[in-house]
Amino acid sequence: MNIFREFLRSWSKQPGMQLATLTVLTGTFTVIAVFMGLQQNLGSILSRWGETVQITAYLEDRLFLEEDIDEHIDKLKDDIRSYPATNQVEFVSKEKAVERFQKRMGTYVPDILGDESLGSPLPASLEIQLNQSWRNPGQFDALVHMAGEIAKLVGVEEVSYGQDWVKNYASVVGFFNSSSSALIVLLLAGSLLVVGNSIRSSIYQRREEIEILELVGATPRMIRAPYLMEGALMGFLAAGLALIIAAVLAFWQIELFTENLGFLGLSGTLGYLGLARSLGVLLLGIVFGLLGSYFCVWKISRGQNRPQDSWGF
Amino acid sequence: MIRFSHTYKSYTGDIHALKDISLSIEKGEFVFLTGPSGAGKTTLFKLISAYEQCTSGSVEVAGYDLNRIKFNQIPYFRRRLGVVYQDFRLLKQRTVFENVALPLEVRGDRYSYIERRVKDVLDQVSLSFKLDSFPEQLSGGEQQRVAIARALVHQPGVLIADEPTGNLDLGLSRDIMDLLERVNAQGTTVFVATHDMELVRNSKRRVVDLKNGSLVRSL
Ligand SMILES: Nc1ncnc2c1ncn2[C@@H]1O[C@H](COP(=O)(O)OP(=O)(O)OP(=O)(O)O)[C@@H](O)[C@H]1O
Ligand SMILES: [Mg+2]
Repeated sequence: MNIFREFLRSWSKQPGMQLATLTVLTGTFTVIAVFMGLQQNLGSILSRWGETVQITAYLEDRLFLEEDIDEHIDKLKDDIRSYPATNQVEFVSKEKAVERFQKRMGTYVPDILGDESLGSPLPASLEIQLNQSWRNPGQFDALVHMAGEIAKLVGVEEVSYGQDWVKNYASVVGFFNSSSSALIVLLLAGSLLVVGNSIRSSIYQRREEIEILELVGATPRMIRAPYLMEGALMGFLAAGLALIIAAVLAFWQIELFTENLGFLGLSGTLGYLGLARSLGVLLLGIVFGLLGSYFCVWKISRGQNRPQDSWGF
Repeated sequence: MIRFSHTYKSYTGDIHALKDISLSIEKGEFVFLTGPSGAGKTTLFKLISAYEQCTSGSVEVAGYDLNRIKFNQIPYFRRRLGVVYQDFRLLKQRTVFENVALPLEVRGDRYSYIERRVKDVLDQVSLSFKLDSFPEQLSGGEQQRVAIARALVHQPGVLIADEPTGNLDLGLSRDIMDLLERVNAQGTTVFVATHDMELVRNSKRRVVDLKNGSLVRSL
């Protein structure tokens, strides 16, 4: 049987219902795609920031009054290098710190540059790059301990390890991921109902036709196939449209973000849903379209009843 | 080919549409079913086509015991049957050609064969010129002939026809009866319900007469 022709026929018969279904379904999948995109981007921000986690040991100003300052710094470097987590230690002088700050923030807050009265507010420091295996949110407790040890070294005024906020960020991301995943599951369940409803009305409109098909010897499988196709196609269309809408939203948002919050240095990190996730959304559309229609369709021509019973004739 | 044995059929509301029917129709027979309106003719046909199940007794058609038939066998059973329904039961959204092609499509015949065969059968009911019309664009008699064509197209072993000439004028009725005779001559068992006593008398075939749900005569 020409399933596709049947499908077009049913759509042209009740365009209002199908259009409404497609709209609701597209909305649902757009939200799903957007949340998946947010999950992806928050995740890549997290790993990007996780990678830049480093320990900075700020040095006491009075250290620079000493004569053997260079030796002292070398000694500190050696001490720090003895930790297994340490990959590299770099000395950042006051001047260099200011220079860096200017470079990074200059275009956003140019006034700070010329303000001599501020002097050199930034302390000198030792920047400690960590080994790859230590640069992830799971290692924070070990880093806290290491930071504590470094803080005890002579000449170190304060240790910052950007840990708390990355850790907080990680837990926010975790919370967002689990709550948005729950929302996605809920929306998918809703999409089952929406597809089911539309297919049910399709079946109802064509119950006479279904009965005639049964009478000429069509198998249940043949009779169900067009409705399953209809569900799958509707899911596919909705997911496809949703991906397009979400892409437009994403490109627009990312542009805004990089324009206004460029100093966060995230421009390369943010992106639209990857290929795998996009295909995943399409697949979800097809699968849930199929499932939604399957739940309605499996009852058609099902054994226990003769047709007149199943349709209430 | 068709065997009823002490068959009863009641509908809800204490309507006893068929009472103690015992009847046997052999392969290749041509039998008329007569009786006044409401006698139970259509009900009898519904039992034969496995559209309804009898309340008690048994119905056997083409080797299938319809009380025991498995649900998934029903489609295959029905493909061996040709049925002309009193109310035609044509698909409104499909053309004459597509309606008649259904029994062949359902069993998966090739399109080239379907096309040839459908045109041939429509020719036999003098409707080849309405190939692309929809049922609603046809007269009652034309719709009836489409229903007849659909019942014959797959060359079924058993043909049951509920008032197949009810909407036809004398000339067309004769043509259709000739067609049924020809089909019967090729070996199909034919069972025809009709009010047209003239037609029954002329054909000198076996007659089964129903009254009030009971068999009053089975020659
Ligand atoms: N689905 C049904 N539910 C309840 N009663 C029914 C049903 N179908 C038929 N009947 C009743 O069963 C009896 C037999 O009906 P049936 O349709 O078999 O008559 P018939 O001989 O075909 O009549 P006609 O010549 O007018 O077509 C009638 O009294 C009818 O009212
Ligand atoms: Mg009748």
